[in-house]
Amino acid sequence: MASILLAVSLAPCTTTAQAAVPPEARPGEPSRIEFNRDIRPILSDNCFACHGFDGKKRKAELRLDTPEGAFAIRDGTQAIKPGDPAQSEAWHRVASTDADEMMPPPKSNKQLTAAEQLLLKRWIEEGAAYQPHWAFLPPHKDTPPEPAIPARAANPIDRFVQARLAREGLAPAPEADRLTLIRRVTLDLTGLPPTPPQIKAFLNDPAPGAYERLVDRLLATRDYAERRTQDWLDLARYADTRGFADDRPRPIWPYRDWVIRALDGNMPFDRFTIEQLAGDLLPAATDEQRLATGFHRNAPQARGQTYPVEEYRLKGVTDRVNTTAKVWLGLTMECAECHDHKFDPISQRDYYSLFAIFNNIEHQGSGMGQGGPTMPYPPPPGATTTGKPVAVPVMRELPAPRETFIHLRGNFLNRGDQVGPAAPAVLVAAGEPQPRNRLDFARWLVDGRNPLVARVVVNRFWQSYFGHGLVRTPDDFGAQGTLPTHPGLLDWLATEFVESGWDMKHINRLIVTSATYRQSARISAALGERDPHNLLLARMQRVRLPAEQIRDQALAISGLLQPFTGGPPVFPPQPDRYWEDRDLPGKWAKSTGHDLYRKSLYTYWRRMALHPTMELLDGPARVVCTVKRNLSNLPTQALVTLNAPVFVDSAKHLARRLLAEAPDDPGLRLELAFQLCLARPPDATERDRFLSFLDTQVIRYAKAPAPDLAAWQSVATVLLNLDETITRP
Amino acid sequence: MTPPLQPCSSAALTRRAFLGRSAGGIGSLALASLLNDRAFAEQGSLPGLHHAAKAKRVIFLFMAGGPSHIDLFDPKPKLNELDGKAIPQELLKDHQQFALIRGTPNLKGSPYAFQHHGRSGTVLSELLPHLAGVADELTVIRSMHTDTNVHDPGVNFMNCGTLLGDRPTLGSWLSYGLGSVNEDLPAYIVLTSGVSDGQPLLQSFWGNGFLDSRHAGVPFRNSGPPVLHLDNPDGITSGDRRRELDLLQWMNQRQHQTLGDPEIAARIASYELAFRMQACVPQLAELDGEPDKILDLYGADRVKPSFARNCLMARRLVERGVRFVQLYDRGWDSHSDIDREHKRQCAAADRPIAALIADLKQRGLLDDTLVLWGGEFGRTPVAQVMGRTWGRDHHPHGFTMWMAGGGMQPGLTYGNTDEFGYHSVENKVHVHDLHATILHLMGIDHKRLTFRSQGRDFRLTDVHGEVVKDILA
Repeated sequence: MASILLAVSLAPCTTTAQAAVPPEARPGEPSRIEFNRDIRPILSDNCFACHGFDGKKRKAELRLDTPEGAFAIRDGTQAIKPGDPAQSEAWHRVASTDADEMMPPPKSNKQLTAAEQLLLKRWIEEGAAYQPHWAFLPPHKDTPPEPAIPARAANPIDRFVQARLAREGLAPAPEADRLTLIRRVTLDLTGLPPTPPQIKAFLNDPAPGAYERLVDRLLATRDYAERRTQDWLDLARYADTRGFADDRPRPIWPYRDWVIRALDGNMPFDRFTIEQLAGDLLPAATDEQRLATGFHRNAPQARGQTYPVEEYRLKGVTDRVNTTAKVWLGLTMECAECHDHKFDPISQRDYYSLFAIFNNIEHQGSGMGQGGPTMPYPPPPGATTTGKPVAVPVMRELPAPRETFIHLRGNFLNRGDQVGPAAPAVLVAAGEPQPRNRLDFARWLVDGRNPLVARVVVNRFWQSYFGHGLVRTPDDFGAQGTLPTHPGLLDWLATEFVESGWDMKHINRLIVTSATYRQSARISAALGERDPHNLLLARMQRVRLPAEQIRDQALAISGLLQPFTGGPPVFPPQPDRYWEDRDLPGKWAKSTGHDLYRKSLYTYWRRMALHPTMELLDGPARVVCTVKRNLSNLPTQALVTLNAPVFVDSAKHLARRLLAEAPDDPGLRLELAFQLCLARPPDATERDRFLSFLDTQVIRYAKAPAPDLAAWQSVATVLLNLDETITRP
Repeated sequence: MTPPLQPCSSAALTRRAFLGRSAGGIGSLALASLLNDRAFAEQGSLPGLHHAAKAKRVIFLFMAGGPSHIDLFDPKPKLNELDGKAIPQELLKDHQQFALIRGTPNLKGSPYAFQHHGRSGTVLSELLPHLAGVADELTVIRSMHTDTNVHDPGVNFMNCGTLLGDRPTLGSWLSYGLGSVNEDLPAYIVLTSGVSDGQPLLQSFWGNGFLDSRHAGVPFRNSGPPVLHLDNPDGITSGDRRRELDLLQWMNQRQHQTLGDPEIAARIASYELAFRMQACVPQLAELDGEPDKILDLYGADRVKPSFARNCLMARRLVERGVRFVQLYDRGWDSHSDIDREHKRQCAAADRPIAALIADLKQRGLLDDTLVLWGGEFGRTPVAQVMGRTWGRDHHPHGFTMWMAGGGMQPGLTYGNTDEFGYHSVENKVHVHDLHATILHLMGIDHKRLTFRSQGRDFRLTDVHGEVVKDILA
């Protein structure tokens, strides 16, 4: 039944966003054809589906993904004869126009372009040197190149970026102005806008290092931890319900608070990993360490009423394997659930060996209220709960491991060989001990020798600030993923991460203090034409705020935001009968008081019906691990920020705030409004236009009980909806 | 000939007014072109159609829960003859267990009479008297089969070709490939009705998967305003909002000129579409301008939510150029009392469906509008006995769907199940084949509408699907 889920498409290739800008060559290397950069993508797109790693789908018993396969002499011919295209059958077939012999065959709808054919020919001429896939080789810490513009190189990041720009004949964009910088970095690091006093302090700090001091202040805030927690919860597929049709509540918020505490204390990433994957197996595990294992109890869990219980237990294990592979290895392991991976050296045996590691957890999938192992967690003081401890789902290992079998074609009833626990073979050097349980495996991930983990993690950090990673497929570092735009930089950051003792704040600080991050985001016509996707980083990228920050910012600007951290989820108003209309059980427990205006991080996250403000603004339902969110631009979103109650409340309170906090002068009030929303004053043209709008509105609302307030609310509505406001500059 | 699209006239006027105001102040060429009529209609990703399209829009009438082919479209004399006998063992070979039935159930014939209708002689059950009146318009496929007998994965499969709801749905693919022709409404709209049978409607049923979320289906609510937050806050008139938007867009345009970010231009267009939806959607929802005789034809109330009202809404939406309209009608999951439940469902759905087809036809819309009817699977030819009543369990191996209009061969009954109505045996049509055929009718080669995600090219039909040429006009 599941076999069709993951079969690989034979559809033709679309051009990728990368096409306009070729991947970077390593500095110092001659400009010869490089397998990973130039050839592997061609073979992977066009040939590997039939001549690759998957033995079952292999045609003519030919594989082109290894030199042994490609160079083998069979019936007197070689698919590839190094140095000699004329004697290479593969080249002959690719160049052929005869429908019976050309490769790829016409029915595949694939064809090599003339340029690709030329590359392939040159590669064979130059000796057809293969390389292992780049991401499976250990990162190499090159010395950062000499900066092209030393004055604009704040740290090694810039030296890599500048070197690339220089080769392309481009220069970095000028530094953004201070007002843009403080709004940019404050929104990025804390999820909140800078306040007028913070802006003033920054502007009035003429000493060198003012920006770095600002960054250090922000990194030390609890807001920073909460903002990074939000990203981690997307990966952890954290939600307050169990998923599937009945979607019952699951009191796992203490795990969310664990993440906040861990990130607030800058827990090293190796410990952060080990405690979440296997905290329960640590010697003398503390309550905190057991709580951390809630990470993998976020897997959706069916009530198991109409489904075979075992099938749905296994779905949970599958989810744990796939999530782990995505979050730490950046691999699409799920392809190997049903068959050997078509593109990456991950066999179905590898998949089920990793499965065996996660297959020994106590589970009760059937019947109401039986949710598997839990631990008691004290309710927060003053919380409006019963005062009883919360039973938080955590991991607990069975005393004796379950047997694990390969599920042929992904069907659990169709058992293949029995397998034992192991990490994917391609990632374990010959002679190295194999991890045998979750704790071994977690330690193995972060022992500093895994080629993927540090790269995958720093790439996601990069993505949080630039909108895209250095590898633009943050969930696929395999052969079908895109190559890094700046491989030297990615490797430098990855090794720096490990050498710093897996210091997450250190890497985040490096990124936001780089001159690359501080560039202006203006897109000149020439640059827009040359590099529309900003692969070269010759400018900063504007990014629309995530759902949570659009709401939180409006609350912060208006002064409504309540700063409390942690605790049970809250229920800010949603439309009446929102769940009932979808026939979902349960009732929205309308919050009151402070809980109306808590950060969106604490909004009750229901998988099957997310709060509509979050859903409409692209908040993920978190049914599965989300590595990158959609960022859409829809009319239904405009209606949210124009008309949804929380935004109307914010506009009203912002108007009150302007009347209360600024002197009785429209110009000064407008100054404050601009400061709060945009962290900048209005220019003269804007000032004139807004003040004349204000005059019109005061006349329009002359008969209203409070004409001034109504008119300023109108101004506030405009300001809260500006593209400039809802976009990180 | 397609009649001209129905505009939302007040919105069109407002847009002209907005352009008139903007022209003096700003004069940004890019934005002027952005705000002209064509540009508001989203361009699709395909540079052109792969071949001439027979259908320009789709109405998918989704009978959620799984209607019984045995009792509606696929009479089985042998089954009636063997009513009450144990199911032959050979039928149970190579197939999944029943969803809810345990043990070996007995065959159950249909208690309903079937008759030939129209010139085509299309066979329909007595539960569908109104549909009989448009029998000659239908192309009935009796040989459908799918991959699961579980509801949510089944609905996902019928919409996105995979069991997990993680891929784009048919409507999203069409929006992505062909874009939108309407400037006042989204390209893909979902309407819901029916009685609750415990099966919630999930976002994934109209999800965009890895496609940009502007291609997601926009669910219209079935009561109250169809779109959330459509109403301005208390005390804010449309004129007030327009003034606010004028200032807002003026600011956005300046920002666009300064920074050159194309997302700002897209945001300006979004806010304008939102404003036009505020004018257009309530007008749609209030059924303004529909004469009583049309409401009577459908059996719809002007206000009260119903499947009938949704059918009328569907016509109003396709009339306005909406590309893909999907109606979910719930309550077809008849495990325990099929006589009561299927009669109830047919009573609510039969007349409006016939009315929809007749109404589309009389307006000249049926020629290029594809109407599609079916559920996530059919129901078992064996009984699920629940005390004194009986029903049928979920059945994926053979079931019926029908299509009408939009390039289908009218009056055709295609394919067959075995003599029990159990397995699809003749001219089998898999869900992937159905998808390939629908895309074909829309002018798309299903193998060439792809999207690259996570390192490979995805398509609606995955690596499967054949266009069912025999059923095309």
